[in-house]
Amino acid sequence: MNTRLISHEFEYHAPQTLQKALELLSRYGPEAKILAGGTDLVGHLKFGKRTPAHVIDIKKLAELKSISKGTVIKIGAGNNFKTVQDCFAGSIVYAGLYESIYSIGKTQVLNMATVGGNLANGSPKADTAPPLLTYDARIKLVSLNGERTLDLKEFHTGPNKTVMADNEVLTEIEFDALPSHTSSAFEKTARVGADISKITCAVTVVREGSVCKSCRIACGAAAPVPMRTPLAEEMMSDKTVDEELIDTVALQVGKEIKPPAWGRTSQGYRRHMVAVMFRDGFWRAWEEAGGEK
Amino acid sequence: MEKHTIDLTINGEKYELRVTPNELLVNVIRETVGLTGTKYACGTGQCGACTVVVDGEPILGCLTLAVTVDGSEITTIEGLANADGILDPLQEAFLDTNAIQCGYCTPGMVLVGRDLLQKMPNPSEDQIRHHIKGNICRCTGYNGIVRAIKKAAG
Repeated sequence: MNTRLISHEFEYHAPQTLQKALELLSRYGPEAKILAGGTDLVGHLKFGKRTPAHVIDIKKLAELKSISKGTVIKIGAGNNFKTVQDCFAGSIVYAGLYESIYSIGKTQVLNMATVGGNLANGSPKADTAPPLLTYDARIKLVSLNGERTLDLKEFHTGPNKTVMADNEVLTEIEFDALPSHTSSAFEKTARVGADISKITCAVTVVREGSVCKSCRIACGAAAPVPMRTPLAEEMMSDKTVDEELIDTVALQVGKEIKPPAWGRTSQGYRRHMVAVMFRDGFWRAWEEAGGEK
Repeated sequence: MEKHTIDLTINGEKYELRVTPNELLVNVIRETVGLTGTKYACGTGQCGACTVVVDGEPILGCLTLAVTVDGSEITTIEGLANADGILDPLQEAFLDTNAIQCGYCTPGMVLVGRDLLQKMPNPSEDQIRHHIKGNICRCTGYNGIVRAIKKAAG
């Protein structure tokens, strides 16, 4: 495979407003692909995995670059990883999101790739998906026909598949601000530091004294889509935290994920590692939230 | 395929170029402009050899369509030395600490190292290693490169 150039030919559009981008998408439908950071799409163009007749560049759209942190936290989908990482640096509550981006690490990729693209690409391995799932994040999809907001957990439908229609743009990710005494953590196993994830686990813990009010758990590269583990979460709800409980829940997380039988990482390894990572992530978040081990 | 006209400022010089939408920035810089200090290696965004600084931020030239950076200011490795050929302090540090063997990763390493020093004048070893995570070197084992960045930090 030649990675030196792109042999596929296409027309390039750089609309100046979201409205213009939506008009182009509406006109070209399935023949168009949205270009944001390009770290996925340009590779796909080289390998012939995607062969759009039209590429619509939304990277510079100012409408997709706002971030606001009030009772609802809103992140414009066009913000690159670097901006989002800086925005949540030092946060105890949203440490999971920060750590998921930090784990990607590569300076150049953080400058290029967008948080919207990470989700819209539909990868079950998307590093920002698990922490956002534990924040009960919602996403906003906009088309010429209007806009709709849906839960992130309903967004992914299979490997590289989402509910997004050809004429839609993912414009914003939002979630309700979490209460105090909350912390989150993200754990990742990859072959080498900057590699694509083998398995990831995000944990968001709400503490009240020695009781875990709620613990939300989400895993990436664990199933055809990024997923929550509701049975394991139920076992944690309103429970006094001790090591035995966490060890039991860790095994449940391992049972609950649905890793594929194929791929670079075996099912058994993923089930084992996700339990280890849940334990590590939980205790880190618990201690950050002011709890004791 | 329709050609687009793009205006770039590369190392302070202005260029008006005609490019097709599928042309990659790394190829335009190396072949159209003729600045071959920027390297092509993996072509898939793994290795960082094609790093160039666009509007102040290091990015990957092999995963960037040239047409998307119209109007940008770009710095390549050739842009670091001053007009008299005096090298950037980080380039000097690379020479002093033997941070170079085959040299293929060096342009990307220097640009990313310089980016770190601009943002964080006194980085720890961990911070240096994290910042150059997207740049692969298969010769030096990284130790010389880390020493060079530390040395340039003073």
